[in-house]
Amino acid sequence: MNEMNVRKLSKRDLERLSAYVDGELDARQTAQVEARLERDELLRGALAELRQTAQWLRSMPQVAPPRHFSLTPEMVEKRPADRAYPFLKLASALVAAAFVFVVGIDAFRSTKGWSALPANLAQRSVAEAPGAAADAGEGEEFAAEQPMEEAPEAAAPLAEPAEEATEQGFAAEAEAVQQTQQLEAEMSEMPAGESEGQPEMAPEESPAIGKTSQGADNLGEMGEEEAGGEQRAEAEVVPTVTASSEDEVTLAEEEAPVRGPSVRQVEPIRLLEIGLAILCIVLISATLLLRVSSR
Amino acid sequence: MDEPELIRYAQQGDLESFNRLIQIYERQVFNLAWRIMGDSDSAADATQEAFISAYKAVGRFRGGSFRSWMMRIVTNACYDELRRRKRRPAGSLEKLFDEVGVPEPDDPGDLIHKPEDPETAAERAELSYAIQDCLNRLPDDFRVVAVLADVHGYEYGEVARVIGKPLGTVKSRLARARARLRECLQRHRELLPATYRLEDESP
Repeated sequence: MNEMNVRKLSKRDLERLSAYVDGELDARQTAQVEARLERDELLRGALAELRQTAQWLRSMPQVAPPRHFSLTPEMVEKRPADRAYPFLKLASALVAAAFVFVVGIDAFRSTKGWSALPANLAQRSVAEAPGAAADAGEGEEFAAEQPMEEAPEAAAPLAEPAEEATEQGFAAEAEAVQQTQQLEAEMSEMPAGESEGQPEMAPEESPAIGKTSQGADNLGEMGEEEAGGEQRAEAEVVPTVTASSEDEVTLAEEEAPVRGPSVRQVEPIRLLEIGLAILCIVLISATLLLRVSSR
Repeated sequence: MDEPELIRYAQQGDLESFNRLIQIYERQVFNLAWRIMGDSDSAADATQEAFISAYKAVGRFRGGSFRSWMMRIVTNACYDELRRRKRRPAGSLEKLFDEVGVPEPDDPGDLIHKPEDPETAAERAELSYAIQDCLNRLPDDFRVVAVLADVHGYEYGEVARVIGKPLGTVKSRLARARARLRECLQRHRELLPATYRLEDESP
């Protein structure tokens, strides 16, 4: 025992010898080890040491457990939270999948989606504005890009600059907005024949409407015709406003082809994306929390 | 009811049947945990945790040796607890063993005992103390294999199933564990008074 033969063995010999102690070598390996044992004193010493160590370990007493470990129903009862866990996990997965799907659709539409959808959109624009049928028919691509602007031929060019001017130029009170809307409504009732003259009219009209909004607080119950009179008067008196609003109108007209369809088509999908993302985060957090707390 | 039948009932959620299985295995499971953990309290915790996990997982037990399956669960429970200990500040593992001390299997009621004279009993207790101390000093992976193969006498194949490692790993870990234990016991022996020395060298 004082020799410590095991220390002097190679790793391979140690493993062989240890397995030999347990009878875990195959016949060929056993014969090899036995042949070497006959002539190798070191190996014999190491074998004795390993055998005795294993024997000592095997002689270790077993003890009776300090108590019984029987399970009570309370110990294994599933808490409500545990029962909810699989459902939450499934819900998280479904919402995450829905989110990925919606984002995928959105990405598809914003890259090559427009060229894939024109027929659909052109049809819609025709349906919404019979007056624009000819335009829509001219070219699908074009119609698809500008359906909303082209379609309500009479109303849109006027209404949009007006809205634009109102939004950008003046802080409109509720009453004033109402009046503006009434004016818009009036204008949209104009016959289609008059529409040719309107692009020139727009710059004049829109600041006037804007003015109306601004002046609405003072003007109070002013009638529509009176408002119309006021419009012209003010438009003449304040040419700078007209000029600046002209810019705005051009701006609005430039933006319109892009914003017209996209504002109406994409916003709901963006809302859906945000909603799903939030729901997804909430569900995953809840699932993870539940998992951590159940440990 | 025999074991396969108890397992079948347990798999259907019958707690009573599972508790019968616990009665069969609790001694083995506790002793394995005790040798791996080095103290009775941690061993009892690991045992209880292992049985709870086993009950929850018994539905996924697909035949084979139930003992191996059970031992695998308790081994993993011990590994979990050992990992938790390691996450504590450095050096605390050594300190923990010092504080808790080595299990003392010398409660006469607890031992599987043959009649023996007091001197032999004292020697045995001393050896037992030395072995557990040396086991505690082994790396976890070596200790688990040494306990399974040598203390519990499992064949290499079963040890491999319990630790989920190939046979070659079992072989090499056991060989190195034995060599280290031998060295450690040698040092213990040199510290012991002559009367407690272990005389029977040859098998």
